[in-house]
Amino acid sequence: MSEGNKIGQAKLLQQIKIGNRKVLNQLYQTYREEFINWTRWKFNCTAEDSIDVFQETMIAFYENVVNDKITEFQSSVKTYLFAIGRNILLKRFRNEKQGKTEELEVLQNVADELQMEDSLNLTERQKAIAQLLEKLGEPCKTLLQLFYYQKYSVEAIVNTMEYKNASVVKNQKVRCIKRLRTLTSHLYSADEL
Amino acid sequence: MFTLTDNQKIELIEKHLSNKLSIKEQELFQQLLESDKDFAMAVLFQKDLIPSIAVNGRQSLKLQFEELEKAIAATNTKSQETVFETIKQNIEAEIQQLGYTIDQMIQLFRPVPNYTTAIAATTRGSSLSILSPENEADLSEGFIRFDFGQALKKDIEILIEDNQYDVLIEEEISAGHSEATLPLPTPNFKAGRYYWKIIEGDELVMIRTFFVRKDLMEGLSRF
Repeated sequence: MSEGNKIGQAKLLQQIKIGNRKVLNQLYQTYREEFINWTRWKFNCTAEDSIDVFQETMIAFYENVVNDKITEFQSSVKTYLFAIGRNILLKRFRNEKQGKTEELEVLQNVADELQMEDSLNLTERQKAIAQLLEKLGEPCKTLLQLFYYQKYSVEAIVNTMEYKNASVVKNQKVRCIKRLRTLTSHLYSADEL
Repeated sequence: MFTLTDNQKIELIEKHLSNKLSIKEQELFQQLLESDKDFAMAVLFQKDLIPSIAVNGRQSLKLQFEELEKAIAATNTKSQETVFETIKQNIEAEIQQLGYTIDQMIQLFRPVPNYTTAIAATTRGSSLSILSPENEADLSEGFIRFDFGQALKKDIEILIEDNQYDVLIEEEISAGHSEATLPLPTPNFKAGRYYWKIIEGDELVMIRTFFVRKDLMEGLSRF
């Protein structure tokens, strides 16, 4: 890979990490059509399924970037995205047991090459917390999401949410967590300790 | 032992969950876990919190992409509409060049109901078989060529009409011929729907329709 490409890709990752949605959207639009054609032709997916898989791929890609699982690309962004897509399709075929053995064999070879977030298998309690998070409202919902999901630093949250300084953000975060803990207290028992 | 603020406790748990505790912090974490029941409960809660937030985060990204899909669909529709509009304008200009309005051109391609019935009727039981032209052929090259497949057993008469029952060509073909080519001169055969009839004696044995500039008829469906 050329030095210029490396710099370009490093900038891309950096922009995604700092939450530049435009860059993520551009990436989406750049590879969307090719990805959809590829899944439709190679795996006989419907247009609707292809879009769904592509969106899941983009989400997995985003999570890998913010969790520092991708710091640079061995080949290209496209190869990386398509490899994630293959992995997702493999999991879907396994789950749906559609008997697409030929595709499974091909996909098996790439399945372990990727470090990917496992799809979320939430416990009942985690599902309940996810629902209560919605009830928590703003600014808590956004703040917690920026901090824990998008891995924003406190300073980045100060800028994004226009807080006065880092202390205000930290205090607000504590208040949000406390509120959510109160809302979910019935889900926990002292026996678990 | 000194007391930690709520924020410090949360940060300690966060470090523990991401395996970033120093040895000293690990000791502190362990002490708190054993001595502070609320801290122990907070650890349980934080373990659940991160995957729960991921669900919301993913939903939010999914929404972002779905909005993008809507925008892409809208752009595609718009560019498709632009293409259709350009095609329409081109057709309109071409029709005007031929000296017609859109309505007049629609009339020129209108089928004759009686003949539509006759075409169906003469498809069956005819003694004559004609290999070409096929029904609804596009004959825009200035001639019509009949291929009878074999030599005619009897004399026939070929009539060519427009869709106003006006006979434009009347030609006799004597027995023995296996094909016949008739010119379709431009002044009489502008764009439109036409019919050819084959008469044997006094009997109509076959009637079919053909077009000149069939492409314009297909284009008219956009109006």
